[in-house]
Amino acid sequence: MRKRTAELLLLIVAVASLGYGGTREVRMQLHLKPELHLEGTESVFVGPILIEPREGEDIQSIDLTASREFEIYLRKILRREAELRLLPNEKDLRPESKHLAALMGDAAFWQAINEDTGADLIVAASIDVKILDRAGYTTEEYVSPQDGKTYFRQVLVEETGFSYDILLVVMDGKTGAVIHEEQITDFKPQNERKLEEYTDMFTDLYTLQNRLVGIFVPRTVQVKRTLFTD
Amino acid sequence: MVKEWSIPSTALLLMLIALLGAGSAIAGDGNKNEAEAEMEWGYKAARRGYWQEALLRFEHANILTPNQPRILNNIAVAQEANGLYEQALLTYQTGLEISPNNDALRRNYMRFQEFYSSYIAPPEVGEEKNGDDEGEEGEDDAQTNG
Repeated sequence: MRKRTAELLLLIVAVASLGYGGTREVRMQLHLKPELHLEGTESVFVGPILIEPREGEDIQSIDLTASREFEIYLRKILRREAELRLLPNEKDLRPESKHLAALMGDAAFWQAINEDTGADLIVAASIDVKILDRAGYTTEEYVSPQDGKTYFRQVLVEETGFSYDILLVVMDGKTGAVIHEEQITDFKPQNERKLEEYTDMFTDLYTLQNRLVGIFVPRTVQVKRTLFTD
Repeated sequence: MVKEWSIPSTALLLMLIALLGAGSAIAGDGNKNEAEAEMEWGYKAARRGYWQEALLRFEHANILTPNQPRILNNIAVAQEANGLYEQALLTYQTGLEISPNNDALRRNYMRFQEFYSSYIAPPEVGEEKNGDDEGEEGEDDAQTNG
């Protein structure tokens, strides 16, 4: 009798399950519009790249290196990834303020660059780099062995490397007005023994590159999602 | 003498299930079948990357059998794929209101939320955008191409 009941229960479950579809994971590309709507014919001037001095601290050698490295990196990204027409940076800019936030309000400064170079857009930035040993939490996805469900959990991560705080602005050369402003914070892990090496500081910074390119050109992000099949 | 009917109980139950199934089909579950067919077509279209077609199929399935979490899930995913991010957000939320414990729906929503907060609706001015969280998107294989 019990066997028959068990068989019946199985049968009912099987019949019931016919009404519910399975799931499949699909990969898809999500499209992101650029922050700026450019025609692609604009000429771009890169500079100035300022060092944002921290309160109570002097400019250190790492700041100077980072500023120089960032300019090289920015030009490379804008030329190769965004395929923008970059103007040569021939003259040494001497802005009146070393604070980008203050300089942003100085329309005459940007208009002067436009008059000298003919730049439609001016991409400027201020940068702050710190060497640090940091510990922080990151979100991690995992499937519970108990119930098979997916959860997100916080995991402590200890890292050593460079921390970047970059304010990037895009100015209209003709009017001297701010077109776009982007605050980017990033962290590049570095082996503790190599913390004194400042070469290629911005290579392999996925987030930074992603954000910079995304200001000027459309991007796609590849993601995974679950679909019900029927 | 009256002959007693002796149908085994298993067979009786099977007949009952069959009758119930047939009954529900007759009672308007033509819609259900059609919705399932639309879901299947939609899924096939999505697999081939025809996301507009997929969205139309899923939406039609939702008209036929409204507010099914699995259909809402597929609609939301298709809306994402078509760049309708605000609509996708609302659809996920509607689906989760109906079925808060739907695992696939919940997982998709969490992944979408990470994407949405990173790329579509970044923090307000004054809040710091933290680049470390982006790009990863909470997913192993999230990749960005310029």
